[in-house]
Amino acid sequence: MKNSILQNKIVRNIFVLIFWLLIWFLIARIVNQSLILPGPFEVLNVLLSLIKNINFWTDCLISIYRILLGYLLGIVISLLLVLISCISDTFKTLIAPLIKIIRSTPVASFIILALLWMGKNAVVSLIVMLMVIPIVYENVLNEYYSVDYKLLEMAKAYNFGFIKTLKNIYYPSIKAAFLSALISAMGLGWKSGIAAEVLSLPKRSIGSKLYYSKIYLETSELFAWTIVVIILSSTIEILIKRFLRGYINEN
Amino acid sequence: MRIRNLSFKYEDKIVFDHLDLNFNSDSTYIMGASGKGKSTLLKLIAGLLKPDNGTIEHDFKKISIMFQEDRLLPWLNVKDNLLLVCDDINEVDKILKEIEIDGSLSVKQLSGGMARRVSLARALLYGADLLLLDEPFSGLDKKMMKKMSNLILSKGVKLIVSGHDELEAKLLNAEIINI
Repeated sequence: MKNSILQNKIVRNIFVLIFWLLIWFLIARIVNQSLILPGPFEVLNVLLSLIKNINFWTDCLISIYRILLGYLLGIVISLLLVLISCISDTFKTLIAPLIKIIRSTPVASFIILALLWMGKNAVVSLIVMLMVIPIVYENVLNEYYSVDYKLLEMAKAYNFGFIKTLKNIYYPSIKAAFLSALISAMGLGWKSGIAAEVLSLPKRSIGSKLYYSKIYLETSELFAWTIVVIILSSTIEILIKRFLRGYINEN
Repeated sequence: MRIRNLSFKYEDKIVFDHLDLNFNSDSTYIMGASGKGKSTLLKLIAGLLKPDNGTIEHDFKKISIMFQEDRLLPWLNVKDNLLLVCDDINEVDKILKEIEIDGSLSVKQLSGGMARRVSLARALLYGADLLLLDEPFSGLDKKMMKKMSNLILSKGVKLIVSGHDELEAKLLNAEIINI
């Protein structure tokens, strides 16, 4: 039963993919100018030639490294901010406008500002970190405040202490919101990281390859790199979801 | 234990206004209609709430409270819930036999009466010298009520119980105080 559902899903997805490839192929044929819209076969050829080159893999790995570094830093800092906000209302009040500004400011403004202040390589990780912080901070903090006070009162009555309360009440209560925030933050972090690369142009990066493809009017290469971004983003999201789901089931 | 001149209010709702109570018996049953402040009184004695005025004088070292709601952690099984208040696994296994509940059951699998018994077991396992029980027998049939009363009395600790039923007071050999 489960297998047949899975098979149906795979067949359906393949059908959807073929449908859109066909639409792309037809429009490309109508436009008939590969500089404006290359066809899927042309892009596939460029993609195949790209992946044969060792530099392609280095660029991808370096981009992934920068983005994951910003992502992990963002998570750690968010959790520290949550912890301090839980202890100090003053801190929470002081940091609230900062979080709101980070959340509302266009990512391009941050990238340009960051470029004035630091090196190209650090900009990407910083931008990803900034995008991750509001998502994780707000989700975890909101969940912290919705922890069942009756359970907290029980913990107090039975003298659980800080660590035991954190481990047995706070953590299980906020776990689901935390993990879903991590997944959302990865999606946004990835897109922002690539955007930061496009604007800051670090030497080895997917973003700079996208930018130079556009500058040199290599539209097929631009499409090929965009496909790479989509594939990497989906793969990382799937891996994180699998890892987190496994973690939820274990705990 | 003595309560002197106790006043307490939730925002604008006055619950106790200069209340005086003496607890002379080993087992006391506080009786009163819903909303009279029985649960609040138990929480004040347990130190979970602070009185606006007055004092609660006692020399108990450790106080255990069974709340009106079961307040079990739904993400843990029964045994793990009990192990949170008592490290001695043999004691936990023993009380699980006494309350006739399988420790491996998830809290979500428990009926109302079963959850009540687990909540009572937790209060008993805490090893207090004063036991505060807030409507401990709700959801239990008479046979189980009797069994649980015997279990409570076998611990030989001082009791303050709240409820609406004189039969419960009788089962616990308790002196009734009306509030």
